[in-house]
Amino acid sequence: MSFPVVSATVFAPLAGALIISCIPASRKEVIRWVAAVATGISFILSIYLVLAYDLSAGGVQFIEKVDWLPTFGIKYFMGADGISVVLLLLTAIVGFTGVFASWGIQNRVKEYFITFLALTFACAGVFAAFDLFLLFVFFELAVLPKYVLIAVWGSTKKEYAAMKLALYLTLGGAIILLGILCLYFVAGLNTMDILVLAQHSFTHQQQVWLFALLTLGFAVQVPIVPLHSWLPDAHTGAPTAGSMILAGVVMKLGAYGIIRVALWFFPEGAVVWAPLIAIFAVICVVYAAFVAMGQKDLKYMIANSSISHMGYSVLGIAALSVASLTGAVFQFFAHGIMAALNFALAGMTYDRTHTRIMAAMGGLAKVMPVLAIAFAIGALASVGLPGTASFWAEFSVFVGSFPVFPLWAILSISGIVFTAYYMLRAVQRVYFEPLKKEYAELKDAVWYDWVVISVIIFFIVAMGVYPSLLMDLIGSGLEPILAGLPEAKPAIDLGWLSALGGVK
Amino acid sequence: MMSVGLLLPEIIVGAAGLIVLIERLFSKGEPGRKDAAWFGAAAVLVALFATFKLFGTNVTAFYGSYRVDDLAVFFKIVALAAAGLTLLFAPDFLAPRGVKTGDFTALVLFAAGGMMLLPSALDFITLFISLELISISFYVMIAMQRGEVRPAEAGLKYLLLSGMASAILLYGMSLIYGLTGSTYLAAIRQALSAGEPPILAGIACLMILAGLGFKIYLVPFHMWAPDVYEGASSPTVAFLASGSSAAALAAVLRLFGESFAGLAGLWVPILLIMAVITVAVGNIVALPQTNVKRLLAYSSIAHAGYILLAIVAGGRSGTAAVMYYSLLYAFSVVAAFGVISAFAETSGGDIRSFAGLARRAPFLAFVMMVALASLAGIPPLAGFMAKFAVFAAAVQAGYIMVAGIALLLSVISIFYYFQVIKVMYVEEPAEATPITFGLGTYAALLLGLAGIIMLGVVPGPLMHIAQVAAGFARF
Repeated sequence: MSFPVVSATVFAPLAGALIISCIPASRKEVIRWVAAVATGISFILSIYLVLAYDLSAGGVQFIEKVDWLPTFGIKYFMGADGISVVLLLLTAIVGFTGVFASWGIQNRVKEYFITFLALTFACAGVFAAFDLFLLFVFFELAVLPKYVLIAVWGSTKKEYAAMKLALYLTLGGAIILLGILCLYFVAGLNTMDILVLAQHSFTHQQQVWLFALLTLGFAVQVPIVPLHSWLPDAHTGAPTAGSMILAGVVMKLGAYGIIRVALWFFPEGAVVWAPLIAIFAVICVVYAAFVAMGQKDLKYMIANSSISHMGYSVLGIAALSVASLTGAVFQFFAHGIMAALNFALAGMTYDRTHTRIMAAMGGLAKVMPVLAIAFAIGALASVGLPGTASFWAEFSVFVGSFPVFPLWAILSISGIVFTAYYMLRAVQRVYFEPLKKEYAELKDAVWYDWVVISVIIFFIVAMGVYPSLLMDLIGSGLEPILAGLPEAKPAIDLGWLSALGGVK
Repeated sequence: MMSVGLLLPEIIVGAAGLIVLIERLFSKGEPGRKDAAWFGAAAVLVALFATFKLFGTNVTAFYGSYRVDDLAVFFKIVALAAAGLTLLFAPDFLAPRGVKTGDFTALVLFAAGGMMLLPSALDFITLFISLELISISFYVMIAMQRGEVRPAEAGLKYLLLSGMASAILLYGMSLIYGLTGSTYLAAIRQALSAGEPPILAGIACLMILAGLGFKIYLVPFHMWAPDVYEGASSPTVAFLASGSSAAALAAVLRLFGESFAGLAGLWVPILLIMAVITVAVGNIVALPQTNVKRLLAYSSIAHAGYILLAIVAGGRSGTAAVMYYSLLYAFSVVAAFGVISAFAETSGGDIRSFAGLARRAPFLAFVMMVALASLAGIPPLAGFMAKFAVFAAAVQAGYIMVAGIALLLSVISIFYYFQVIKVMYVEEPAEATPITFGLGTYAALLLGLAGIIMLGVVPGPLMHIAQVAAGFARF
């Protein structure tokens, strides 16, 4: 058997956590470096996966299969298709930069990094699992580290936020588990292999109800309004790196589940429910944007903006067209790194000013120009400025969904205007108004801030200039999923992209 | 001669119990001695080997009243594992409190003997005597700490209610005997499945359910559990929660899966409703608890509800799920009470005494967290696999709605389990003194931890054994 690259990518953070658990708690510097190396290995391997993935062959590659629970036909089945590769890269970027964003943490450093690495490990596992049971295991595995991370190292209302998150996510998990069990016994194939189950043709009735059940379960995690109320509290309460990974990666787990399981297995169900999901998506985009506009707290604003941005993804999924789904998955990546950057900068700013109330800050660009520029880039990426990754994501979602839901697409586009309003206002309030005296002595970015900022901005810009690297991967990953949809074209046609000129 | 060999594990355990008792007569019984418990644990280990040898035997002996098959062997192993782990950490708790370790050890061994006989019982007399052997041992164990009020109160409660349950059980059995003319389970099955069973048989069946329901925490026969859990010493509760209900479950499997199969139209709907109510009561009443031992009592009740689902689901996968659940639950609950007995007994398990445990004793806090996460069903720990097996069996049998309701109710449990984890890890300790504990506790907790993690990460082999053994539920 060749070297298990996918498993190594997923398990590197866990190995790091195990090594850290053997290091005495007083050696903080060693612990930080072990965490950095562990996530760094995973980062390098995920870049290797992106480059080594054979586009012309397509399908699931780097397969590792071992029997795990033969009674139920459950296997340890890891692999990567185009979508997995992109999302593994996202997880690795957020994990790696998250370690550096946590460099300044002084309280219980050892436990902190163990928890953080465990969470990174669980998220990566979800994207690499091609056995339904294994996917669910990774999905649920993430709950406890998330809880501990927020409850111990969080800030505002941390215990309340942590418990709310745990309850909501477990509720979603319970619904998903019921859905998985139902589909397993309905299919009656005695296997949890996603590739095999996806080939099984469920009856129309089964598709309609199982799609509804699974999507409901996953929707809690996305989250889709009105199941979202755990998110702003959790993202705001979490420590900086916790918010980064929650917004950057964890939010994608639910939407990924919808595409990977619900949509792939039950295309007819998807067609039935799509109009309803589209309505919820628009509510997500517009409602969350309005809520974000009303926030005084910087992190609450970013958290609500995340819900709004994930609404684009959901709209893309609901439109069920090639372009819209490609855009939806690209949005996972684009929003993932962008939200990580925004939360990282909110955290860095908070560490210096000790307030998150935007009105209390002001003029910080004078003392910390690097952070100001980085924040401005993050804000512009939020707005979807051409040249940033989010532009392509949002653009293809709108292109794909406009023919299907013209009204909803137009309403969602209005979300961009709101985003521009609250994001640019935040930049202005925090960084550009007259400098307050008490902040005159603040320091600009230190070396570990530089690592976070430069790595993420590199990817935001690189994917903004050269999106087809990931677009092609996502397209190849979506091919088998789209094949089941009655109305979608089976072949991948990214012609509209090249029509724009200069992209391909 | 062959037949006596079938009883070898029980004979080893019983003889070890007698040796400990006799030794107590001749020694001065200095307080603080722990060697009796070590001897008992060693005997359990030997019996465990003897039990493993019985896998694949599948023989009915003693004129059809006793059966050794994989199902029985599996439950014997659960009983031995529970007894062994309890004996490892019990002396650290008992010796400083002036309880003679020898007395406790002998009682644990006798109760373990009962728990090993019960899954093999194929007639009412054997079944009832095994059950009473367990109950009587526990009457004493619960009330054992002399001079303390709470254990005495708990012991008295358990004695009265358990006595009542036994009486009802016995009455049900006598009615069945009157109707069918036999105490043998096989003969009863034949008599009851021939033609329309009389109404009286249904009433008797429900009486037996009530009697056994007391042992397996079935709502509304669960009232004793919180008081006994709170009052009795932690080692006793650990053994009670892990061993006693598992053995009673084996009897329920034999009786309801087989003898009363003809009455399934009556007891299946009743048990389904009871399962949902049991899950609901356990999970909801656990929420406001401020005493971790009481909280775990309600958690036991909730888990009984899940197991009940698997019993109703029946068939091979349902039976396998019950067996699997019993063993994995035993590991989790023994580990949890092992931690409590290591430090929290002085304040009776009050949740405030757990504050900052992660700083005072990181190992204890970690074991407790893993045990609670396992009970909450967080993968990849043992409890998750067990829960998965149970709900899979229920969905397979077609009880999708009931499984869904139980799953949603199980979400509530996250709240109270995580609450304890939060207190241990987030809150500041009232006193910063590190907690020390003995080598036995350390060994027991390490074994429990290994069980919870290993059986969760590598569930295949055990699940396979349970599946094979479940084939013998019908004899």
